[in-house]
Amino acid sequence: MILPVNNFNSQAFTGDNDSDKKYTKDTLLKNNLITRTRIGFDKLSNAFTLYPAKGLKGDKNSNFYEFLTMGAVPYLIGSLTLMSVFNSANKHFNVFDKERANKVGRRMALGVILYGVMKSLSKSFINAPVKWLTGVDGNTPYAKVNYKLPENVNDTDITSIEYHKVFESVDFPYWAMLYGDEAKGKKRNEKYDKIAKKNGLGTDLNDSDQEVKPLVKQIIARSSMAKSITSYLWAAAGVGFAMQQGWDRALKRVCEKGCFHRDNINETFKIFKDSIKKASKEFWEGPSTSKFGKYSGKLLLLVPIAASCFGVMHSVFGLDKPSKIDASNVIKPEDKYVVN
Amino acid sequence: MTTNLVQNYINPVPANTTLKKQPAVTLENTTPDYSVLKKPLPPKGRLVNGGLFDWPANFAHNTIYNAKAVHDSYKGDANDHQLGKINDIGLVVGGLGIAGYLSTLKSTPKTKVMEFIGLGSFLASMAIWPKVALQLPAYLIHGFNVQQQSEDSFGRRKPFFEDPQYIKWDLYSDKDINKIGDRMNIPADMKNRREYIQEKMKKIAVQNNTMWMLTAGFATPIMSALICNVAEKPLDKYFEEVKNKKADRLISDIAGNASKYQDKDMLANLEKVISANKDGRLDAKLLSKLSDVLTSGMFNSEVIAFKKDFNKMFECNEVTLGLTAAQDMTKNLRQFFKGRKIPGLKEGLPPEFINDIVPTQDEYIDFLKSNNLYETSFNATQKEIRAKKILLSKPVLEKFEQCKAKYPHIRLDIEDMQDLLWDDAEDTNNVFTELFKKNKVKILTLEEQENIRRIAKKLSDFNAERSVLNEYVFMKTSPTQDSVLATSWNESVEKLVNIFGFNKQEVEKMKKDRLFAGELFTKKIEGITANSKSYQDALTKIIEIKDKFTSTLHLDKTYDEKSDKLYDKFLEEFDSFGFKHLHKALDGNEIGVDTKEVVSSSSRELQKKFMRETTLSVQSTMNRLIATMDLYRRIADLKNVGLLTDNTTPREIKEEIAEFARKIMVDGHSADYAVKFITDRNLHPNMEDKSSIEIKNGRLFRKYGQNVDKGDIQFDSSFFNRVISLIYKDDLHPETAGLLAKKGDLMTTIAEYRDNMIKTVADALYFAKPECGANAEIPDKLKFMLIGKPLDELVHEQASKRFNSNKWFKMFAGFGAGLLGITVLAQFFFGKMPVQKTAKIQNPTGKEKK
Repeated sequence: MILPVNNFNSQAFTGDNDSDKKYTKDTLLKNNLITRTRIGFDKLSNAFTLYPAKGLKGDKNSNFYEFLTMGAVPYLIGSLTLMSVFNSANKHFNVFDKERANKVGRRMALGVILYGVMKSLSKSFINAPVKWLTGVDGNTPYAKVNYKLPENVNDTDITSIEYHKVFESVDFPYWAMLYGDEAKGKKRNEKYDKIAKKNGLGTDLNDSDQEVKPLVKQIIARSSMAKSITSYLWAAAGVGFAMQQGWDRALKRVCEKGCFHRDNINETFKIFKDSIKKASKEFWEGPSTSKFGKYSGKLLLLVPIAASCFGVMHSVFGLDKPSKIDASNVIKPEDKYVVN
Repeated sequence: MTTNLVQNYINPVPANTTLKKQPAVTLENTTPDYSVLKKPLPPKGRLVNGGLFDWPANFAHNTIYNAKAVHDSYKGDANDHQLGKINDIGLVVGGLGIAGYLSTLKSTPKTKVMEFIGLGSFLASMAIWPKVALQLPAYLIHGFNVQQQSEDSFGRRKPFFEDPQYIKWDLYSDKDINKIGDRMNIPADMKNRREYIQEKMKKIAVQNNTMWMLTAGFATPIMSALICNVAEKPLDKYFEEVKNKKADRLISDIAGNASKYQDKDMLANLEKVISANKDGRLDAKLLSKLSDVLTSGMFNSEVIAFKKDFNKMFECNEVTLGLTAAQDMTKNLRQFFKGRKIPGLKEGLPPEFINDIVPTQDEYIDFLKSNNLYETSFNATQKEIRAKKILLSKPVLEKFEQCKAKYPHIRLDIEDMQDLLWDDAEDTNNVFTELFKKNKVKILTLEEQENIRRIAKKLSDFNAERSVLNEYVFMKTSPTQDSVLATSWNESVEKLVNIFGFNKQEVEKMKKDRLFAGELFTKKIEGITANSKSYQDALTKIIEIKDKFTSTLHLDKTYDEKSDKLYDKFLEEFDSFGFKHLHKALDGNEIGVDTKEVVSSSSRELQKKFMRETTLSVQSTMNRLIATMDLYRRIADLKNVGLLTDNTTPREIKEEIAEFARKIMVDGHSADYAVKFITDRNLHPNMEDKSSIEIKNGRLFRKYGQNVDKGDIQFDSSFFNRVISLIYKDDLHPETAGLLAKKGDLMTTIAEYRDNMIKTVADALYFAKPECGANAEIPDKLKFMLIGKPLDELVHEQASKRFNSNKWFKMFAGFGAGLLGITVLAQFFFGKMPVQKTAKIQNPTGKEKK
């Protein structure tokens, strides 16, 4: 039986729509906190519920997107397990052993949290300046309408929504998403014009989209590399910061009952403030007993800073931009041949 | 008109390129010549073999590919697959950053290495878990590799089943697919069999991939932690051996290894002092400065002794007067006259008078030169000193004569002046006496400089070689967690406690408190010592452990011999300089006196004690365990128990002594010995019953002492002495003696231990008042170390350690095993597909084939 499915390719691609209604076509979304949170929540809830259910069933519609989205599961469970490895057994130990093990365990748990936080946050250290300097936003999201195989003859709900990023593939960026809808009075190349202008290719270009595409690919490839490397370096800095003894008091406080109660919250914040100050000092100064230790904290912090700065500069400068030779000087229509 | 720049981008040709003419395109020649069309290149995709023997090739491929990915990403030309690899590289780089940083927070090589093992085990677990829990069982059950890697024509390697909607099935030959189908029991004659098998494989792969995502989060950290847990012991052993060998190598050639311990700063500082004082006077100030530099790193007693010797060495009996002396003379004379009280002059001598009578510096220099005294030495005999005083007073007296008339109110005559200047009394501050004393010094000539350098070299060599000995002791026995002693001790204690065979419930109880631990431990010893065989077996094991511990640490005479040799060598060197005070400080005896007497405060003895004392505590603990076992055995067997078997002591007293002796061996601290065993006993014991004590299965049966009023009987030296006698003075049990005798040295060691305990700790000399006896001189530290660790504490700590380790292991290994079981078991439910239904759909005839 042939189902009445619209041709996917026949649909228009525009970058104008960003509403909460169910998407009927691939739709560009605004890259803001609300959208990112909504997408994150959607992906996370699916990763823990729908996709594993489909995957364990061996569903014929399971796809690579679902597999990749499920990558959040081991990441989060792994983090919790790692915290558990260092803390769960402690309560059975003797008082002194417990106290000692708890100190290490809590620092480890904080390390796991800061690893994840710094890894996620640090991507903005590349993304934001690159976007600001080049106009290329590597995180621009869009909702993709995915067409599935029907489960049975009565299955008419054959679409699912996937959240992708326009530039998640450097080989096949979803260029069409960035075109404006002329039917709605938008300029078709508006977004590409902006990128061209930001990158010094000039304004009022005939085909700004064609001009900037190779450049954008280069920016995306370079900034992706920078993000991949620096995010782990920042994560390492997060772990290093968490391992300082200065945290012990604050972490112990957090484990105390009622520490966030209205009566105690001020004291808790004060302890945290002191601990952050102390831990920062320890992290920067390093252990005086070790020859190299004095520099290790500084190095662990300065390397990601330097790498991020370099990553941004490398993503923005020294790109292979098209030369500004006028085409009329190259093409000789009267001779009917084209150079090269 | 606007410019289309993309043309330039695609064909970036410089503006002045010479253009090559091409034939003009016309309608006539646009028809393609199909005969010359080339076919596309054949695809080069393949399945990647992931066997053990393919590992080197795969490793090389991946390394080259990753390097290219870095290069291309840097240039901005990377593809998606290459960017994915960059993420993997980032993971490793970040991991190395964490491990590297954490290792700098650790103090020992093992703990540093453990950080990297942690990273390695984590990465390994990420890779191993899907292979062990999914790939292998799936292969065994379904007959194909669910984690199969494939390579495309561009050399990009990806999991074959990564994207279920895009699987490159053409990489599997019909033969391979059919083989898998056979394994899956798919009917051989099924229509569209290949498609069916592929569907099934896809389904299994999707299920496995999902299972992988669901389980990896639990499995990876747990596996990693378990790997680290398992790796810790071999690593301990490895580092112990490395350290032990390093220490042994160090001491085998002390002089050869001393170079890196040379105090270069000392020699450099010495050169600074020498160059700043070339040809200067070796006065007290300079000598002090020099000796301060030379004695850097020496013990205080050695510094004091050396300074005496050094000052003596540069003592001088000649006085040399030069420029400084002339300056001093003028200055001193002015001061001298200024402070004089002259009858009739309330405010002392007027300054103008002093100016007139005191010669200037230049006048004194001229005077010294004219009398051939300038920079010329003279012997500092009393006669010469007197003569020079008179001589040097001459210019003052002459000037006094000349200006005397100017100051009629000053009632001084020439005799008065002579008396002032020639005064010989020791206690008066004679202006010339001080001057001669100050100038009675040697000069730092080239020859003296060389002498000092020679001394410095010897001292530096001595300190460096002694540092080698210290480093040896540090490596072997320092109270750090990675010393040979600490590692061996941990290993030995674990084995020792294992001998007593505590079960899990006992361990759990023992970890709570040392009292529980002591109680259970006592019961275990009673059980073991109740019969000869179990006792001998256990003691043999203890002896073996002790023997291994001693031999691992090389606790033989090597260190003492090496120390003696080193001290003898340098004493000879220092003797050649005539350093007798230093000799005494180092050796304890005077030069040339070889009494063989051990002087405990001498550096030589301190050096040897350094090693002995650091190991004494652990050695004593082992000896204490042997002595405890022996005591329990003697009581259990009622052999060599002295008064316990006599018929004159009341049974209740005997029971109290036996019980307390056993108890004090298990839980006794040095404090118990210091207070002479404060314990609650029956204040009114039964004195009639003098029968023998009863032992049942190694346990003392108490007939008396139950449900009675108890209290401490103070100053009961009889009880104390009897307990001590039972523990340390009565002969060893014949079985103990027999087993110890097999290890000759050990017999002597235990005998010495028992003897030392009596002399040092268990003496009743200072019984009434703790500080009045001779033994009060024995340092508490020594007593503490001789007593060793109480055995109940030892087993309590060990139980606690074992409990923690077991608890953790049980929790996570149990969980890991369960997870593995579920994951493997799940394979049996994967890939279920309705054969008939599929066959029907795919079979146009509608006939089902089986």
